[in-house]
Parts: sequence; C-alpha cells; structure tokens
Amino acid sequence: MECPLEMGGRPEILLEPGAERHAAECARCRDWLRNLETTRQALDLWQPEPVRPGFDRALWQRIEAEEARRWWRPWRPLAPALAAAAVLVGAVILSSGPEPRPLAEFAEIEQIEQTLSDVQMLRDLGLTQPL
Amino acid sequence: MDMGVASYAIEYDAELMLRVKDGDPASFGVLLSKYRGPVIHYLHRMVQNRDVAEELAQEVFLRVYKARATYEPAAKFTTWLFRIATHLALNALRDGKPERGGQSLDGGVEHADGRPSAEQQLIRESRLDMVRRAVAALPEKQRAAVLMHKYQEMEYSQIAKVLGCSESAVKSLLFRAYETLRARLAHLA
Ligand SMILES: [Zn+2]
Repeated sequence: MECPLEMGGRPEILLEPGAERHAAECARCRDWLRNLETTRQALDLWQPEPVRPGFDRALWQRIEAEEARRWWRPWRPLAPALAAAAVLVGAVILSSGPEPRPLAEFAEIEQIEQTLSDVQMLRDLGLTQPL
Repeated sequence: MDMGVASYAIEYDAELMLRVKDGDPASFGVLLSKYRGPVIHYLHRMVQNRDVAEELAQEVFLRVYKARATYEPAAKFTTWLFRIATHLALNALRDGKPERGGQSLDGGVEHADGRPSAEQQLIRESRLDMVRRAVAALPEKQRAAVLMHKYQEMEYSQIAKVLGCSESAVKSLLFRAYETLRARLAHLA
C-alpha cells in the first residue's frame, strides 16, 4: 500500500480498516492514527445533556393537533362552496321576516363560520411534506 | 459516549414503524423513547443551541408520525430519521435560526457528577467550550458526518445514505473534519 499521506494519495483511506497494516510500517500514518484517537477522545468531553421533561408531552400535543387538522383537510377544496353557503344561509335568515329565528339556526351559522375560520387556519398552518 | 444508534436492529425499528403505520401509536412511543435522546443530542451538536435542537427534534418526530402512512422499510429506520434531522438542521443553520435566540454555543453543564471543585469545573467548562467551538467551526456537512461517526457510531455507508453522497465522499469529509479538529484540539491531549 502506498502511503495515503503522500502527495497525490488518498488520505481518507486511513479511515478504512486496513489502515493499521500500513501504519505498522509508516511512522507518519501511525502518528496520524494516534492523533485521530486523541481527537476522538477530546470529543468525548462533550457529553449529552438529559432531555428536558415535557418533551414527549409537547410532541403528543402536536400530534393530536395534527390529527384533528387531518380531519379537515379533505374539506379544504370545499371552502369557497362553504363560504357561499354561509352567505346564502345569512341572506335567508335576514329576509325571512321579523319573528325571532330559532336558536338552532344561529348555531348553524356560527358553526359554518367556525368551519371557515378553521379552513383558513389550516391554510395558514399548512405544513410542508416530510423529506 | 452516546448510546450509538448503529447497533439497533433494523428489523425491530422497521417493525415498530409498520405498526405505527397500522394505527398503533404505542409503537411510536417506543421509537420516540429510543431515539429522542440521540436525535436531540445530534441536533444540539449540529445547531449548538439546546432550545432550537429540541424544537427541531419535535419537528423530526412529528414528520415521522405524519409520514407513517407512506412508510416503507426500504432503508434503516435510523437512516430515515437522521436524514430528516439533518435536513432540518441544515435548513435551520441556513436560516440563521440558532442565532436568533442569542444562545449559540450555549453551555449548560447542569449535571455535574459528584461535586468538582470550582477550579476543576472551570477547567472542564473551558475544555468543553473548546470542543464545542471546534465542532461549530466545521463546515456543516463535515460537522454532520463527524457527529454521526463519532457520537452515533454510524457506519460510513449509513452516513452516506443520510447525507446523500458516496461512501468515499463521507470518508473524505471525515478526514478533513478530523484534520481540522486535531489542529484545534491538539492542546487538549
Ligand atoms: Zn503512510
């Protein structure tokens, strides 16, 4: 094996398993490998810190929120139709005389408006696809 | 040394992920408890900011969960996981995200084992700081390669798949990274 540290050599092959065989006969490569070991030991000074409590809880909350949003996703293309329906329902209510409307109808309008704002929120929060 | 990810059996992780795909969140919990540490530590060393690292790790696991329906055990689960983590880390670094919190190269040796003297503690902190700075000064791809090689004990072939390059390119990245680190950390020996 030619010395990988010589000009024009491929020094990265010192990271391959056979490197020790060459290093046994080459002081320069032996030094390099010894230094590599020392460098790797210095990196051991950087030990991981414990994961903060609450990481999993926060993640599961995000997953639950994501699951809830997923339910709405297929309805997204219907947003304009839902908007039109909301306007129509509003118009019917306003034009249908002075007597008070049953509470259920107002609840329905509120629900549609809520749906529309959810749809908007989904758009705003649209997450990118995974890698 | 960290709990390396390379030694985990591929079949078991893939099996767990297939169970997640079949609608079993408990299996996701198992994968999470197994890999949350390695992923957070990798990201922390990548972006050098603990808050950003945890934020990114949340995103990594969220993406894994969201992608469960399309999961196919074509590659090692950890390759897929670290590919997502690396992608997010590189994006965050390019967006300058770690700097935003004004907390780059954050310390936080909060878990002193035993009670070292103030002087010992100072020396340790200063040596650790040198290591952090030396790692931070590496170009991003070299940094990612060295972190996976040293702390996650990944094989060249797996690092290559994570980084989307050839094995010889990985060795070349590692050679240059270790050369730079050796020059910067020689005095710690
Ligand atoms: Zn040689």
